[in-house]
Amino acid sequence: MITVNSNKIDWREGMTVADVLAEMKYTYAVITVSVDGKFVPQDDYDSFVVEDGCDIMVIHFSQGG
Amino acid sequence: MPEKIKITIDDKTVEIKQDTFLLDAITQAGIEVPTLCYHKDLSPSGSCRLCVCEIEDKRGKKKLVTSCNYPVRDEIKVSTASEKVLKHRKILAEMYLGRWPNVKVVQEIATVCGVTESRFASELTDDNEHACILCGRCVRACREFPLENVLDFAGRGILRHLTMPFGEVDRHCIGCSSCAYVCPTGAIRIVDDFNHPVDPRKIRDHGMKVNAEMARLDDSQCCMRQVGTSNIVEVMDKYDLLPCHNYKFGSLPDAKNIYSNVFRDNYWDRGMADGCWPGCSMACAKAASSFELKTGPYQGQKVCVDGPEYETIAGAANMGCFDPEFTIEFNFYCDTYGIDVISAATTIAFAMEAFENGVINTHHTGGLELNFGACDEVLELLHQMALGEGFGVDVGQGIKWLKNKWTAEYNADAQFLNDIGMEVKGLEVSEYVTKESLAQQGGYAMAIKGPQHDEAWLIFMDMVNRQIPTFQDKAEALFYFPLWRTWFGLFGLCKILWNDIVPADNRLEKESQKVPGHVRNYFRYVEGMLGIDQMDEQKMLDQSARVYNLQRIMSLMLGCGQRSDDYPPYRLVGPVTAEEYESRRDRYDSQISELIHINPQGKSTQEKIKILRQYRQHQYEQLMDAVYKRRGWTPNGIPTIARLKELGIDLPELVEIVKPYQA
Repeated sequence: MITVNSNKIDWREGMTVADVLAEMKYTYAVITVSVDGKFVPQDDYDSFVVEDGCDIMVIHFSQGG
Repeated sequence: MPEKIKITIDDKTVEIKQDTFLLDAITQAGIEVPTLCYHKDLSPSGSCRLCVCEIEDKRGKKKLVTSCNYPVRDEIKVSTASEKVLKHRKILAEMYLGRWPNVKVVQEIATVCGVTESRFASELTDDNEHACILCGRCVRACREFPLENVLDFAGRGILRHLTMPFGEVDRHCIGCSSCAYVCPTGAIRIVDDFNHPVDPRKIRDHGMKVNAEMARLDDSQCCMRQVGTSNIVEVMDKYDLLPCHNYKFGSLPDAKNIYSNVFRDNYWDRGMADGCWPGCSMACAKAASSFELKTGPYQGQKVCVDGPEYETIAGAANMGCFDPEFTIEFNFYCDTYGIDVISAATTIAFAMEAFENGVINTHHTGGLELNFGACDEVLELLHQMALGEGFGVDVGQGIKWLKNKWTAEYNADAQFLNDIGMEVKGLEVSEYVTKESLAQQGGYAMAIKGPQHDEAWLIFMDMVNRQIPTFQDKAEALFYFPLWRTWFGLFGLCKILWNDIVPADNRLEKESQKVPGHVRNYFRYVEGMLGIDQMDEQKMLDQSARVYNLQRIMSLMLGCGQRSDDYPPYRLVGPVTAEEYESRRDRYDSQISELIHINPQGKSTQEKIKILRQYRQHQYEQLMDAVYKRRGWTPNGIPTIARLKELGIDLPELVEIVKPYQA
């Protein structure tokens, strides 16, 4: 299991940040991702593999209309 | 995904992404080369040619390239200061110095390139220290910042000069001053003296930063320049937050018919500041300039429609009217009649649910079949509201009035109407679903003027990011954000420049959700306008709290300023009907199990609705307790005399008003 914004979701081998975002249906553009406190640049979402048990924060900077 | 490649720059090896411009790679390597036409916030043009470097490919072939706009695609060796490069730069600097000998930036370039005098003085030599050096930065800035194109070069060869079309001041110039921001010589200067700000330069310097951010970041952030606030229609739909069918649901499949791209691709042909901020390069207002109306007094005429913005589109979704042309027409007539589009949409959505549940019928509506999605009927109702005719007379009174009438005269179920009638303090709720965000329930229902989100918009922070999990966290947010937002509102400053664009390094800030870099900009604007001393967060909070607490006392005087006035209708908090519950059953069942520790198995939908309601309403009570305490109010929501004293507004007449409520 991994934690994403305090939500527990199933982990699988080779899961990338992009996979996590798709799983959570996080489609918003203005986000910042950190895995176990380490910032992950947007260019690395497709390649950064997350480990089992990690804690992921996906901060959305959305402030309404 | 661009490949990473290694290149050598002056014996330093750097790894870069393919297609990186060479100058960026050189900067990454910590090496400086002279530039003149280059600006970090503009696309490169390679026109001054000072940034030339010599590159050698794998076959050993060498050539000079302008590094600012040379995309690196292969492994190359780069020399930034070979003999050929230095000779090339020296002759260029000498030519520039001959033409513009007194321009400071040209003198600096000459020094760097080892030039002290020029052989190239001629009848073209311009002694002006602020001469235009034809670098073209302003042309690019005008194109890339406000997306206008009013500056360009005219004339060929020695007659080349900067101008606007036909040599006249062009009406498309919005005065954003991006050209002045990037001008290296001061050839373009701005006269700031509209209303005599104390320090116009301070205002402009910080405003320019936002212009530059807009140009560089907006396309990858909210696309405000392209589609304005409507960019969040699709975001809200995907996050189950778009109000559909009187806030019953947060998403419906037909919502894609009114996503922002539909308006952008088919209807909008104008984008400009619409009487808000002249010079704003975000210019997020969008307009359809020649829209043919299908109904009403202007039927058949082609009109310019300013919008629709997010709230109007979401209001259409709330009514189930997923039709872009309906939305534009609804927008136009609300504007033309002077009817608040949010109040109208939320009230009509309420009437639709009442109609579908048999509270009212065609006898009451004058024949209008007010089901969700009845676009033609909605427009007819809007015209009635404006003309003071038919059912429109009633609907135009708003939800609170309708609830009272239907309960008193049609024997309607008062509890049901109170649950689904989305109003607080007599004002209709604006267009967001807040069932999963306790903080935003407070943001709406505890707002002094009523449930609109200009005090706080905490949905993502609370529900998605989970950044404010405790009551104290939520109370802190409901203390800070209403005060901050009230503060800049009082100064007449637009909210959008605060957080509908965020600086590239915002994530590094300690409290990134406040977008501190932009908050500091706003402080500088106010300092620049008024000449006051250093603004900071505490000063801002105190200034705002004085007004905010006065507003609360005025609410008390008007009969809507106590705890009993701060409760939301239950539809704002959780599912009212079985249909709502079943539409999100997995979510609600798991919450009953995990948060309330009751097994939902075997329980009827009505039983589960009741369990969830009790829990959520208790949560809301606890939120109110925490928020009032943080604001320095009594448990009944009245400013304490101690708080008024702390703010220096314990005037005798105010103390007299709040004193009876202090217990």
